[in-house]
Amino acid sequence: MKVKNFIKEITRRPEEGKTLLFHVFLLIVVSVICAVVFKFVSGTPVPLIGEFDPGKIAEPPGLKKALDRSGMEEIDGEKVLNLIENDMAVLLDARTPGEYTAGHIPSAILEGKSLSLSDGSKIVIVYGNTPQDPRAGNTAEALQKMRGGMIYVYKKGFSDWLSRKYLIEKGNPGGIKR
Amino acid sequence: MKSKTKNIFQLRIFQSICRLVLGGVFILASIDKLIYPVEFAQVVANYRIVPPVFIGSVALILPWIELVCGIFLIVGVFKKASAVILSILLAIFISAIFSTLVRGISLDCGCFKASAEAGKEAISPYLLILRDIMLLIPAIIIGLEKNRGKE
Repeated sequence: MKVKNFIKEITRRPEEGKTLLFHVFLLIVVSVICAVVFKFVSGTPVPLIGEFDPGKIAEPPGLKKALDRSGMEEIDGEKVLNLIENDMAVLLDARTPGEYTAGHIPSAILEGKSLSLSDGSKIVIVYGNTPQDPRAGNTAEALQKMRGGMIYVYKKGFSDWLSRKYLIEKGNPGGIKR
Repeated sequence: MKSKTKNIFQLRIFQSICRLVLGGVFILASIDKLIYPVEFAQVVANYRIVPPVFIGSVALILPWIELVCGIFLIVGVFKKASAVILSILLAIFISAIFSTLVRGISLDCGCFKASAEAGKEAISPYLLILRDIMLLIPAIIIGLEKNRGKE
């Protein structure tokens, strides 16, 4: 009987609508409705329910266009790691100095310093932050025009590197090794 | 006999300042997340706390909760409920940042910037926790505010 009363108590409509829990519930419902409307109005590719895979989300036209051109190829995180370990690649970080300082792939250099890339025997890999980050594609395109040869784009970028739990380096862009 | 002098935390002006600051911070925090939902979803995924199935839900709903509660706090409607929700959110944020420290994960917190500019923040996780605790204080003060007969 007590359980029945308790259920009745918590499910009844709050008096004058001034119960704190009712207000909390109301605010959350309003937020969820706004989010659902926003999802369908904005057409964002982020699924409301379902697995979020950045790789499956449409790429920005800039990156797709850049990758379609000859002289550029996509590369995955595992290959990047393998090439770094064997000292066969020069990595270019296409992000901002602030992002670079917060954390970057070991031995990567900032895009701004890339003009001094002199070691022609190494593979050039460019990366950005996320698969949607157009900076990697733009930098690779500019570099390909300037330097020629094959430029590789680590499309999934630094976020993928982090999710793979690979080692990162932190530090000031002024302290670049190469 | 009850003293008529008010505690500073019970002063209406103090509570109003708390509401405006907290509401303003959360509105500001929600804007970039709303503009860049994909990038924010990636930030949520980087924490490796939320199951992949719910990453999208969190990335889409969380900024709206921040915005709605922020607006209601500033307007002064449902302020206690808003403060309770934001307190819970702040407690979750503190736990999430603390968990990245424990697990040795280095990432952008995505607190105010979810876009490509996010890396510019580069704030230490300890400072982030401290900042969230500082925000939690006004949220609790508003949450514990005595009813004055109206919300």
